[in-house]
Amino acid sequence: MPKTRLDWIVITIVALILGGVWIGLTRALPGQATPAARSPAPEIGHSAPDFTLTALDGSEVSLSDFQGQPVVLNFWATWCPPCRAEVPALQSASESLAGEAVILGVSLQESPSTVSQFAEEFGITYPVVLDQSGQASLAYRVRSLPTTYLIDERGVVVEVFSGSLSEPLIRTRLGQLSGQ
Amino acid sequence: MLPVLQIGPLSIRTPGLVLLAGLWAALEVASREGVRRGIDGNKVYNLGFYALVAGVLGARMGFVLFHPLLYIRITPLSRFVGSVFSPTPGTEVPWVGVLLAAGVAAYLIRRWQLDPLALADSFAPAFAIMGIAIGLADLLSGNMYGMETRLPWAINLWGAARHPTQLYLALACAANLAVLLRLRSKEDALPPGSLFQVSLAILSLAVLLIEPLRADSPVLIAGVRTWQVIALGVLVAALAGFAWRAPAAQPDGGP
Repeated sequence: MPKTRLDWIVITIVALILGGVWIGLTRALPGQATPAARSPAPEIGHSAPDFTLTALDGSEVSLSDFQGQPVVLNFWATWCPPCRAEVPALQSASESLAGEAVILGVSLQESPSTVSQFAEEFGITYPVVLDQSGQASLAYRVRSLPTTYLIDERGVVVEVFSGSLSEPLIRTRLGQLSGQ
Repeated sequence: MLPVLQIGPLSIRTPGLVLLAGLWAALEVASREGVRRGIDGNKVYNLGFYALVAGVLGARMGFVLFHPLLYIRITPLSRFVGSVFSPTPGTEVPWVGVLLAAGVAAYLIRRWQLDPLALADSFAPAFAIMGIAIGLADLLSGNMYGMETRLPWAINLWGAARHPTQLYLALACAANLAVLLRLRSKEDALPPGSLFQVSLAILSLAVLLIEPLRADSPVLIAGVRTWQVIALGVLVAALAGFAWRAPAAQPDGGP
């Protein structure tokens, strides 16, 4: 074991140099950062995992149906207070952004009647699909509600939010996406 | 990957369970290590617990302060308070949490008149245990996943055979624990704080080596990985700590 201060200073300097070289050699390559090179994952920069679920009207809806326009993918449940709090903001954003972006609600493991009643009570007109088996929430690693994924027109995840969203925030982010 | 264990109607979030078990084990071990060094075990346990609570709350409050738009429009007040304090992973600013935890720990060390170096040595194995728990929790949740590989020990995750980077971290922390246990028997010959410094050096070296194998590694600038820069800083600080406390020259008659 090194004994003197000089020994340790030499070791520290060598570690700093070798560490710096190692960091330089193992830098993330530009190709690794492109979404096309990344497999589907609920992570920023990856293509959003696709799913097909049943909507409230009984039709089958896939996330890929909306490719070509930005999607605000919102995981929620009727029993979750912050989810209820953000519904007016999502509804308002869906009305003002009609044709420019899609708000897609994914209801977690609740019965169609409960969700329908809630949608009617809160005046929700944006599409809501039922994740009764939990397959979509598992694919998106949803650990808390609400969780929202902002997906660009290429189907790439650009931002992930945990917690309630505000309308200004949704508008700002979608505005930035259209400006890209 | 097994993020949720379904037992009948009960859904158990396995990563959280592993983290809780790791936390409990880490605080117990730190407490016992404290007693071994003549520190009140309860104080060690409580200091770890209070620092952790401060860290979690600080990280959360940091997020609220940096993202006021997310919260400012939530009414009524009860919903606002609920949203601010609700445990929502991903809504943290870690460095604010680390600063607050360090502040609370420093305050308690001063107030309870604890020896900081002996305390740091007591917490060294606890950090290694928490590292093992974090690695296993990430393996269960699918976080911190590795690059694609054809190595025989690759695991199938997110639709591809990948480096089990979560297991690499857990194994590195287990190796760290083994080194600490070995050094512990020779502790009397080492200056106080040495175990903590060794632990920091091993963990930061492990992060330096493992990080390039991660597929979701955050990048600081020009492809340079954030955690590698932090790890190199910690490694250099740990080694510089040894340099600072080592004698300027070898004592006469030394081996």
